[in-house]
Amino acid sequence: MHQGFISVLVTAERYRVVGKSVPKIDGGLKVVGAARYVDDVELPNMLYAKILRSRYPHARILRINTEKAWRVPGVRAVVTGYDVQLGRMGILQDHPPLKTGKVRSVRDEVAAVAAETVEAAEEAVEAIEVEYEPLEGVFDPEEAMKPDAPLVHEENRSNIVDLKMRFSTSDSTHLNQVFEKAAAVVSDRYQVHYNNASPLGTMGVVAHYNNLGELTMYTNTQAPFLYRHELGKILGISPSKIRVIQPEIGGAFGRGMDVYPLDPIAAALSMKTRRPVKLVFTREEELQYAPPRQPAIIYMRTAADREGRLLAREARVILDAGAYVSWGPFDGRVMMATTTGLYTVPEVLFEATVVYTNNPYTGTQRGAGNPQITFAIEQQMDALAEELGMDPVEFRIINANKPNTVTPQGLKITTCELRECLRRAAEEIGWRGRGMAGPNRGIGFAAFFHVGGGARVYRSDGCGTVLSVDDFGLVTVITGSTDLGTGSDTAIAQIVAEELGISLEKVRVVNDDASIRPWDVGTHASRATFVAGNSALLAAKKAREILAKAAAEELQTPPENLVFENNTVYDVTNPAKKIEFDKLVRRIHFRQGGSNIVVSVYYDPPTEMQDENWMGNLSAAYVFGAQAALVEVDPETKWVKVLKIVSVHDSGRILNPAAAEGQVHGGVAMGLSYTLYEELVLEQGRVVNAALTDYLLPTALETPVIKTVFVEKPDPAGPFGAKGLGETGCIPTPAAIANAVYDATGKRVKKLPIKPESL
Amino acid sequence: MKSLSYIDVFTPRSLEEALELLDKHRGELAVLAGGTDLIIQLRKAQQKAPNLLNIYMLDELRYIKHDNEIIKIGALTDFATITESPIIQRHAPVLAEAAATIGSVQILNKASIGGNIVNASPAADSLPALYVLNATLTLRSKTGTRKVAIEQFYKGYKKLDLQSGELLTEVSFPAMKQNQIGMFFKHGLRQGDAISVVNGAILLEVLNGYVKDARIALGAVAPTVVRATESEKTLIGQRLSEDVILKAAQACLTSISPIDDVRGSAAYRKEMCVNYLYMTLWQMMRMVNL
Repeated sequence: MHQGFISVLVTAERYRVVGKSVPKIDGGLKVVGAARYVDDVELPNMLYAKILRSRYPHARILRINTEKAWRVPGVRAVVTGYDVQLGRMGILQDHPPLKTGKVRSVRDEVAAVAAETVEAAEEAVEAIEVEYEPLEGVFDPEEAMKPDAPLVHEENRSNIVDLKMRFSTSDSTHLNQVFEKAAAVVSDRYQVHYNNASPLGTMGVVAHYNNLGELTMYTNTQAPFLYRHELGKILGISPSKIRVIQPEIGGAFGRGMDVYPLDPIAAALSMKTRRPVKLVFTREEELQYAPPRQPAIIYMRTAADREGRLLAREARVILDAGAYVSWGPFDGRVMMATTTGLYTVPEVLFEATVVYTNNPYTGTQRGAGNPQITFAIEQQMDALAEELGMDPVEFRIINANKPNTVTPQGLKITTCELRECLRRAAEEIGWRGRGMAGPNRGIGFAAFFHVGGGARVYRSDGCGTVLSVDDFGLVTVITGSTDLGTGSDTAIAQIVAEELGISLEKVRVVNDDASIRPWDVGTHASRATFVAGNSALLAAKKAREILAKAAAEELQTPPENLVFENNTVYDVTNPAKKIEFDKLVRRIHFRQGGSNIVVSVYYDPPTEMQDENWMGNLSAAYVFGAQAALVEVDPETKWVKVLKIVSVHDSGRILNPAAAEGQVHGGVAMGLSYTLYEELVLEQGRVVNAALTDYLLPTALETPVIKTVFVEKPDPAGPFGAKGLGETGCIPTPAAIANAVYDATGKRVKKLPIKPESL
Repeated sequence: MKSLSYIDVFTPRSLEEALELLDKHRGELAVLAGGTDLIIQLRKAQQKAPNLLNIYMLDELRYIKHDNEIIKIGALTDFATITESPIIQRHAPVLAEAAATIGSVQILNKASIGGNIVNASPAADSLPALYVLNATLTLRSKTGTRKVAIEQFYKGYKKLDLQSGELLTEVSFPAMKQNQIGMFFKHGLRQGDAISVVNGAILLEVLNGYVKDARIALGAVAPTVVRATESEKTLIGQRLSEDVILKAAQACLTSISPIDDVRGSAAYRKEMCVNYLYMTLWQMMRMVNL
């Protein structure tokens, strides 16, 4: 519901494009249905592929017979792990794309078929005979940690994954002493569940290997350059032979961060047939086989003194990786940063244990562990405030981080409007204190913290830009960055248009073919506007220098007097001295010794890779905010109805208010749905509600009034002062709703989702 | 998704021809009406799909008539039409209410009442209303016509009193009388387009402030829709009061046998069934005692 956003602008600078609600530059094509997604890619002679998956969550493969599949009319290739050589996948190299010897989850790929039609491929896949010897499975991560548990990867001799994520400010004896002496301590176990990212565009790929040994992949990955590199390794071919093309992406939410078995499988089928092969998931396959959000079991305790100052926090988190390690368990890093960084906590211990089970392997999803850990932290803040007899908003404000703080992990917080955000959330929701929201009603709060200026999780955290200006003044920005549908391309175009003083229509952003784009690490961690935006800004500044030099000569004025505005360049001391932008470009080009304007830059933010002790300034800027939820709980049915959400964000300057508000609305709806509706229900590692009839996505009726507030404090490191915003809408929502339910009912919900049945 | 391209589809131009085909291919044809349940089931089925008799073109099975205090609905009538029908709204508002909750606008436009009946989902939203309206089903075959009370039509989970060669052509029931009131309730897990965890319909006949007749039907709590006979008995002959409706609501537990599934546990369904009966009866009590 459109409520209009409120903006508290700290500095009043005059901009013409930045800070304006302009329509997304990719919006028109999408509205008329002309945008092309992976599923729209149709190539001559294309084949369609289907994957055969394991019948059991844990079993030995004794025999595979593909004879009958080959006999299905239209079948052109059948592959199994026994007849194609593919390298292992994943950071731990624990994941073969096609399984041999053993299957470890019902998602495991055993064979695949390419055929002239999808139906023939499906029929052929079902005709493949596989003999299994079922093994005992393990589906509970705490069970899996026991020494006698069935082993998912026997060679490791334990289900505990060798990924150490531990940070502490002091030894546990000292920590225990702090807890013993504290005036108030809250300690609990929390559990958060599996859900599916549910983008409109399902996972999919079209692979085309030609007779020259070149492989073209049409994919909806979020990280085309890492994808290309990884895929080359898996397929055993040089990445320089792989061309990665990203059509429009119909949402990704973190699910597109990794290379998944479908990618090398489609490539292998194309290599066998030398024909294009399309492999796109149906919605049921998406729900059953796409990597879900990382679930967690969180043991947490927090201590505070009588004045309401936090003394210590300890979090021990168990992360069920599933059968293989993809991006999901690395959510632990984000959980750690929030545990140590949302509030000023002098003593803190965080430890995550990653465990293999026979469940689906997990991916990362919007917020990347932050909604999960914030659910625990912010409920403890609420409970502690109550124990101390303090107002929960006031208690948070006392402990909130302030600008220019260094967290125990070495995160350098520069701009930070957390306290103002909390005040605004309380004001906008009409907070009068606990139990004052009305009969059966409750109000709950939650604050949040996230990276918003890149996040160095790879050797480079950068993004390249090539900017060229044609003879008609049209600026083409070739960016390494991928727009997942969030509007980052529009932000890039706004930044360039602003810097060059031209209208938005004069800027085009190109980023479909990774083989012509400069490098970028991928769109994750709310980084696109900040990192790709800064990169584009640098490129625009470089082009502006060239233009200014020529204009200064043309107008006979020093370059510092020039103003770029309204598609012209003029002398500020005498506005009559001016030249049109496109004319200026032609002057530079069409003359003896003239040149095109093409500039290239690479921006790598001043971020640090964390060391083995998890120390280092991960991001160049951090975002903060607060959310308030007003709920009503029906006393007869325990229906939780969210009446209103107030979502307050410190994301620096807002470049495109309408688009930013859209990001917040989408984030809140996603967080709300994660809290109350969406759950992948697993039985023996299999999703039993893999259809939209029983996997409950929210409808318009579930989406409450959402009031968005931006506390705009321009960040000195961000492009025009902007910080990240993509993920933050969903981070505090589960905790805010849980706290509101507590206010309404007196019942603490420690397990998600909050179902009427569990109340 | 499986290909259904090997299926033969017969599309008759008249009811006559449809019955002819059903007779000729006894037991070999599945009847395709709106297709909102059937096509999904066929695509998911492990066995080979049967050939189809597509009756969707048979406009002669689309009607709502008020005939001598009997309401007659053609089996192909879609739920959007039923919801909006002035006849239904006036003479069977409980069915109009139920029909509106069946699904999204797209589903309401496609799905037919006959399909909902024959698909026999215990959670089907039209069935409790038809139960309390004492609906009669008209089954036609090449050789004749048979009428079956809706309660007799269901013999167990998805087991029907429907012989091969027979086609459901009409649903009929007496128009509600002035002194009858009916209400439908539904509990799903979200507000839009939800499948019922519990649903039900109540029809009360009130004379001089006393309940003369009570019919209560509950869905999604047993293999078929069930009548809550103990609840009905508790109400009949009584004036509606807090005490009476609470007892009546609690009495439904003897009639239901819900299961645990992904939508809710048996215990939760029982609790919701009692609570919804209570809430709905409470509303009806207010209407009666006004």
